[in-house]
Amino acid sequence: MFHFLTKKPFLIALAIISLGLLIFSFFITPPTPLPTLLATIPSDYATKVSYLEPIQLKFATAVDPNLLSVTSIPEESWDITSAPNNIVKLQSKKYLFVNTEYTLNIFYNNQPLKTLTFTTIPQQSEPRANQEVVDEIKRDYPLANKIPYEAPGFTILYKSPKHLEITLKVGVEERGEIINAVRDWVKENGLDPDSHTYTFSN
Amino acid sequence: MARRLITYQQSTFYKNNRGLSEGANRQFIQEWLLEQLSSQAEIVGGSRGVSLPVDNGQEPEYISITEAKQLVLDYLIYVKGINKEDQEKLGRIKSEEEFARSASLIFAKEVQDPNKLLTAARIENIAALRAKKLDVAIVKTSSYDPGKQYDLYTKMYFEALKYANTGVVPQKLIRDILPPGRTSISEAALRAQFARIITANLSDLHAAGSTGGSDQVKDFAVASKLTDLIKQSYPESSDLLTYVKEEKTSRQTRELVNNIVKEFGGNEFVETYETRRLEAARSLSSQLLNETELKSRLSSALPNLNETDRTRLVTTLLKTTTSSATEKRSFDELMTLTGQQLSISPSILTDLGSSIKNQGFDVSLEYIQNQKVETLNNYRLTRREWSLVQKGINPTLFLRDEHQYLKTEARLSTKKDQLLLAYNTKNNTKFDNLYDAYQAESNKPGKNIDVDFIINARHLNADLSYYTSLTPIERREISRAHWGRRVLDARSRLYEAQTKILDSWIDFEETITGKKLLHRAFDKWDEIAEHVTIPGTKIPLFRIAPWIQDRLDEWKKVTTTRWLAEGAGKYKGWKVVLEPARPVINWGLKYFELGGHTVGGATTAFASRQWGKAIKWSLAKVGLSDVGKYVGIQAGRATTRFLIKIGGKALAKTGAKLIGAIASSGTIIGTVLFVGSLALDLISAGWSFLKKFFKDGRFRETVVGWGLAISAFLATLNIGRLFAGIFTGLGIFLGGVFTLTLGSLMLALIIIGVMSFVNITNLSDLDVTTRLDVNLSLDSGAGQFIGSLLCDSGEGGGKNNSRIQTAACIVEILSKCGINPLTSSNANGNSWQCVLASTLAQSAIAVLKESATNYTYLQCVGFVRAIDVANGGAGSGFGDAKTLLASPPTGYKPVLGIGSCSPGDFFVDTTTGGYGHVGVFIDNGGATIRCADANGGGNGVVRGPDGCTWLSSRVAGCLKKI
Repeated sequence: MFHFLTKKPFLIALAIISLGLLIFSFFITPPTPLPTLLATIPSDYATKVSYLEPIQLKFATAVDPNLLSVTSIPEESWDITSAPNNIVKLQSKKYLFVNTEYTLNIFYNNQPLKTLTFTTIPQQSEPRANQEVVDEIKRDYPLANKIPYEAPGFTILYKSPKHLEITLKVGVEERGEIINAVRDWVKENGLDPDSHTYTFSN
Repeated sequence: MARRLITYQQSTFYKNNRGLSEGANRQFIQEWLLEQLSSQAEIVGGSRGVSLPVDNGQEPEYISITEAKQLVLDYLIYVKGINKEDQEKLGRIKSEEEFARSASLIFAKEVQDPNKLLTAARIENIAALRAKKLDVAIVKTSSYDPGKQYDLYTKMYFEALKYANTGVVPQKLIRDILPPGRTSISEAALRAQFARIITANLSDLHAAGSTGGSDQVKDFAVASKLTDLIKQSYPESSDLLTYVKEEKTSRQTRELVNNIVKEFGGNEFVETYETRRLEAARSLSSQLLNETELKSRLSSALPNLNETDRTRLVTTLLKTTTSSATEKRSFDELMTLTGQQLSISPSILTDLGSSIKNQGFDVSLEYIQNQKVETLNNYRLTRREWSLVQKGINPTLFLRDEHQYLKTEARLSTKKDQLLLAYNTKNNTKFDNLYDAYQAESNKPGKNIDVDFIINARHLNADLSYYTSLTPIERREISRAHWGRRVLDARSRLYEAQTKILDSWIDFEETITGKKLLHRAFDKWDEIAEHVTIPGTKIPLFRIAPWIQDRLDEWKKVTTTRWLAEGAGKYKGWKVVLEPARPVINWGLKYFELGGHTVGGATTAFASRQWGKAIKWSLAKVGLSDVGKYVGIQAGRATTRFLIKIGGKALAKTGAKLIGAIASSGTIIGTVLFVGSLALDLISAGWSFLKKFFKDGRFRETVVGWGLAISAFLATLNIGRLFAGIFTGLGIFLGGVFTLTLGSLMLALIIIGVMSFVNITNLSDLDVTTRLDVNLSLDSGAGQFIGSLLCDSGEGGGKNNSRIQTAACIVEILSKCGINPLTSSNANGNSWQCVLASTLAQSAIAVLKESATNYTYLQCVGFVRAIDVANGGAGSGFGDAKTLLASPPTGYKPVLGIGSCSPGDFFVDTTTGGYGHVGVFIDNGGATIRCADANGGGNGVVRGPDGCTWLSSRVAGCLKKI
């Protein structure tokens, strides 16, 4: 009844199938076991969470931070780094929005690991937006803390980014000299005079 | 009229106000006599007297201090029926200042200003409670029903209000004052609120418009009074302030008041109305539940909570009535604060609030909180006492015992025993429990009830319950406030003694025969002493002692003090003590440097700077508050009050003479005149101390406390820091006239200083700092001025510059103390001691701490709020930054566009982030502005004029101080 098992074609087919399975098995990676997440800081559904402190994930064993990925609502860009004691830190590149509920989907090796929900601390202003204003001033108005600048013959205001507007006082006419004086002043403050444009308001 | 003392009944004021049955009413006692007694006793015809209100241009009139005190006493005893204990206490007090202070406290207790607690909203709330029969916490009897007193008042109030709202004349006047089209919110609502305020305050406004000469002065007085009332008691109606200050409307306001008063019977009506209003205000606490009663009754309002949650909620809610007592809060706000502490979700919180409201307990809770605000502000609390308040512990029960809680326990127990004994004796009963006796008395037939016992027992029971409810940890917290209270009490006594001695000195100095000749002789002596030196040296022949003193000062500066400030810091134990003191020591050194490394010079530099600021402040005060219109009288009083605060009466009295003394204090006579006069009282105190110290062993045991008191006292004079350095040197002030004069003092003070130091090192929780002029923050200008003493930040002219200066000072002080950025942890850590040791106004410090604590980092809104309170603002109505233009805080009006902003205004950014930003506007730089702010340049970072910039395009407008 099982005579066919000894037939050559069957054996060849069996060998081909076995070889195929063997080759196929090389392409199949067994699923990586998910690491055990012991705790998070903040805890799930925590409130008054700091908008600048990193999120900490405490694992039972060391994990490869490169296998971790995070998406969040509201969307943020997260840096993932490991820390001692099996801790991984998630740091948003910008301050988090204050008084906002965040939901983080944390994946390990593309497999869902944890959904973490928390609400950031209420504040009376938005530090993230404030920081953007400070950055903008630093970038576009680097002399803002010296402005308005009042010299004997003129005053200087910022008209637009890196654009200084000079107002001559009555009776002052030497515009070329004034421009040079203003450029010198910019240089004195550690900036390249060519970084700004200069116009007269009168 | 000659400048002499007259009797009260001879005065013009009395003759003009004969309609007053007692000859003196609450306004006169509270707002005139008590203020005069505390600040303005003058020499009149050889005796000391207090002035009476007079008309414009009329000669001043004075009554004796004795008669003034008697008038106050009579009013309290015969009109208000104060208890015997208080009568005796007042009768024993010799000093008029101490008398005025104590009387003011009793006055506040017995004669509550109705505006403070009997607000228009509360009148209506209690009327609703009475309609539902939910009001009475205390038993009613046929002979005593506090509600009846309340009804009598509200009947008059509602009748007068009805007339104000419907009468032809009042309505015309109100429409003239608030014409159509001018008001930004509902005209009808604004007019209705105006009518309510006028009606509730008829007697005050009528009294204000009844004195003074011309109609113009009377109009202005009414308008000013109304302005004050709105600012203090009706901040939600600050829109009205725009209208009441105008000349035309001030006339119409006075006419309106007079018309309503006339409609109901004139002076007699006003007097009855005021009396009933006072009685209604006093009856409030009898009609509403106290804390103890609320604690048990609230449970019934919260049946859905389990026992644990209910207890937590009730305890936290009641504690919040204390911890929030820096400003008056509504019930809803109290619930929100409680919810935040317990992390209760808003929806559940709303349900809980509704349950409490349904039982009518919200009115009691709100009243208890509001009353605590009033009471706590009436006391001069120390920093640690305020800290107790913040933790929800009410320190007032323990003040009398200087926070030795066992004494409080014994006192309450004795009081209870006495009350029970009296009750048992009278009723032939054997109760050993006060509550049982109270219950038994309450259940008697109405006419038999002993109302006095009921009131006293209820009050005492509440105190006992509160005491019992405190945990051992809380009691220990309370006891830690002991030293601060003890020093404050001792300091008050010493300050009083100092004032008397200064007065004596000035009076004596006035009587010196040939004074001019003597001064000329001194001048000549100075001239010689300055130029004649020991041959071959630069040592002045006749000024050897000061020369030695100078060298010692330099030596001290270079070695001892610098070592203390810097070198000693490396020793761990010392660091704890010295770290907070470092700014103070450096501050002292600065003045030594300014004064050419001499004590005299340092004193001159310090004093002249202070004096300059004092004059500047006084002028600003006059200009800002329009008091100039008050024919100079109010201006003089404001200035005098301030001078008294910084230097005692003698300073106020001598005025220009002292400027001369300061100017010449680099010379011998100048030094003697200025430093000597300031030090005279110290000599007396020091000498007495020495004698007692060596003779009295028990006294030696208390020397530590005295030492602290003297140190604190010196700090009050602000020369303490100079002397504090001196004590650390050896053999300072050897030889010379100056040394001979002050020798005994120095010896005494060195001992005191050493003992104090020993004490400081032995106390881990010392509650003594140089931050003792806490109450100066109550007077905004003085608070701001004193706040600027420890920091020298400041900008040029302009009406709003006090706010810029305060902003700069906050930045400077926080930076000096090493806590910029300001976070919750450093606002509650050791570094905060440094801020407390600064002279930034206490109110501003509290706001900064509150903001940092509540939000982890100091907020931009907290920063401007701190500046507001330091400058006399209410600090209320500050919501999120973006809302500030639409809903301006109390005392501010919004202006739109950056072009409308002036230096010192608060700029408002309504667009950045979801919350906007706010700070102090300093200058317009075109596309950017210069500013001072917090949290704009980083979390909790405070930026001053040199570091703060913002985008002009983000600035929607500014808040201007009204």
